[in-house]
Amino acid sequence: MYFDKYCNQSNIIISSDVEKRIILNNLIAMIDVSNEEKRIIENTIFYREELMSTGIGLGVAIPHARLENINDIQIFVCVLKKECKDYESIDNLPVTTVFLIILPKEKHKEYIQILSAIVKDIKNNNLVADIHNADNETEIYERLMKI
Amino acid sequence: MINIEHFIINHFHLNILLLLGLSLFGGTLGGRLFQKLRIPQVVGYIIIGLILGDTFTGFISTEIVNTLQPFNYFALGLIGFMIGGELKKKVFQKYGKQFLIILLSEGLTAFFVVSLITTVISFIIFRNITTSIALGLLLGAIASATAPAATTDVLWEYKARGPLTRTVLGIVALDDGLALVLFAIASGIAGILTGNNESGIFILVLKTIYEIGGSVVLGVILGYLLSIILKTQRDDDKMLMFSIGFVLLSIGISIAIQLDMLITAMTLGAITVNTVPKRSRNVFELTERFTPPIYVLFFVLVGAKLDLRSITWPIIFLASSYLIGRTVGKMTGAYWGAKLSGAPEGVRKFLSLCLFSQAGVAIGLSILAGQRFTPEISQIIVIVITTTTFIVQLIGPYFVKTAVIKAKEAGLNITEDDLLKKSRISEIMGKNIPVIKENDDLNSVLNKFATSDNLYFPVTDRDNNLKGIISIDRIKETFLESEIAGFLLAHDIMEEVSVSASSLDPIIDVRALMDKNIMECMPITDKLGKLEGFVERRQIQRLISAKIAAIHQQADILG
Repeated sequence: MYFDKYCNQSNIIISSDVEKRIILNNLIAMIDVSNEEKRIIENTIFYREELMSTGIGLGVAIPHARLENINDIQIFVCVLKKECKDYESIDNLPVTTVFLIILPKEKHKEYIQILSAIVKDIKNNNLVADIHNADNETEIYERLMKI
Repeated sequence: MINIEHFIINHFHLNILLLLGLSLFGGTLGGRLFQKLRIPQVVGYIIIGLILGDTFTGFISTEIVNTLQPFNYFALGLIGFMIGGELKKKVFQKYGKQFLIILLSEGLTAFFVVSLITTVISFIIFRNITTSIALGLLLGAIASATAPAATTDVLWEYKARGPLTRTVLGIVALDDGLALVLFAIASGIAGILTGNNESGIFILVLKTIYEIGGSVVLGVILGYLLSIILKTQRDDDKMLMFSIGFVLLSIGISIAIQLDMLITAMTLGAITVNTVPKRSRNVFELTERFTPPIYVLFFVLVGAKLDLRSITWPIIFLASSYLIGRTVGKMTGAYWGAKLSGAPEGVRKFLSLCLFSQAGVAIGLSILAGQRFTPEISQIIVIVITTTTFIVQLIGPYFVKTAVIKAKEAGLNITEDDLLKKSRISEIMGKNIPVIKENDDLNSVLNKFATSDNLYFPVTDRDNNLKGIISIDRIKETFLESEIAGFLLAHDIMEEVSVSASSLDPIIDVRALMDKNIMECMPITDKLGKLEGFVERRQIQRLISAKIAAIHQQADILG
């Protein structure tokens, strides 16, 4: 429900990268904002990662940033072909799927709801395995839309 | 021709406005200057008036003062209304007898002492016994009046509260009436002695009864009407307009039917405060805020009206004897009265310093005497009263100030706003407030909320730089989504703050900042943005209420 609202097909990427920094930068590069704003997003995202990794376990990471100059909530998805081992997830397992959420500062309630919904789907609906079985971005998008 | 007239009228009005501006500006400046010299501001207003008046520069001539007479009435009406607002039924039930004893004692003693001394001095100067007795009686009666304006202005300026303040307010409110009665009797006798009494003493007494009784009745009627209206009003602006409107009505009607406007306005205030006590508190606060420029102008005009050029040696002798007699009479009378009525120590010791002021009523009565008696007596009375008014208006406020400070009553009538303006945030901010670090997980955050009664917490980074605030509402939103509790940090749920205050800021500014930004709390930071403390709106309220209660309790302990 939240993917069809906040995620486009162009927000999805399949990546062969294995380094956390590169993966996150690739996701940030997909955001349709100016370079200056991208730098702000990058700083915010990496500042949060410094405080504690957003690798929530079960192979999933949900980096997120609440930002001043963003109008809409957006979700970006990166499906990794290889495991990212330097993400420092809380269960110490490598990360295979990254959901980047950016949203306006004041949308705190929605932010908590989306985070919570993604976690529920990972735990109950086999979300990660489902999108990893897809062959390309289009297929991932279609599967996400069915959730 | 019409054009010239039109021009003159316009020109004249412009001059009045210019003079009003000049008086207000100069008066305020003079007031501030005197305040810096620790002398009550009212003295500064009067001196500026004296400089602008005929005695010195002549900017404000007697004609202009007379043109502005309605304005003086308005100021007197407001002063009367505000004093009436202090005359609470509870206070009168408890202290009415005490007030009456002190009033009679100080008023009558001043009357007798001044009458005696000025009669003797007049006889030495004029060698005419009947004229001397008439003059003595009239001056004695006028001497019993105490001007409420300058006295209460000092009490308000120094935020006085306590038994002395209460007694002074009670006495100055009542002795206008006593002065009128004494003056009626004195002028009756003086009329008979000098052969000027056409109507007889009986008619004069009747006129006085009409004047005092009529004023009280009019004040009661208007007071009840105002109370009925105030009961239906919620809007501050309308309440203020109705109150000022009624003050103007009370003065206007009093002038029209020859009543005493001060007594009418005081009764209006007293009825209002006693019929709608809660609603009227707001009304008197609003009126108080409205009055400062009017008071400044009033006192500047009092100063301008004093003409000190026609003083001669005999007048100086007579004025000095009047002044000494009145001072001795008021002081001993007030002391005896306070002792006899069992008033608290502060009243016994210092009331005698608070009753020197004389102004409107005294000058009014001296002019009235001027209309009833020969030019010989009337001129002397007017000059003596004008000269002595000048002196007591300059020294009176200073003695009132000294008395309230010595009686430890200054600063005890502090309002919430005064305290907020006076206090700095450092006096009330919590320094040992529990701080949340931005990398604290949700469980630690919940723990902090559970073990403290704060509704808001500041969030800092590891270097103690302020990063944001977490409110109990944010926690509630998060609480419903239990799946994510394990990996959420304080950083994720905090609200960033764009404003913070300094510990040196006055509380009133910090509260205004909170209002402007719709915040219920305010982090306090140093220049580098490091967190120093934290205040919540309800804490400000609680601490201010506690402080005010403590200060008022201090006033209650005094008696």
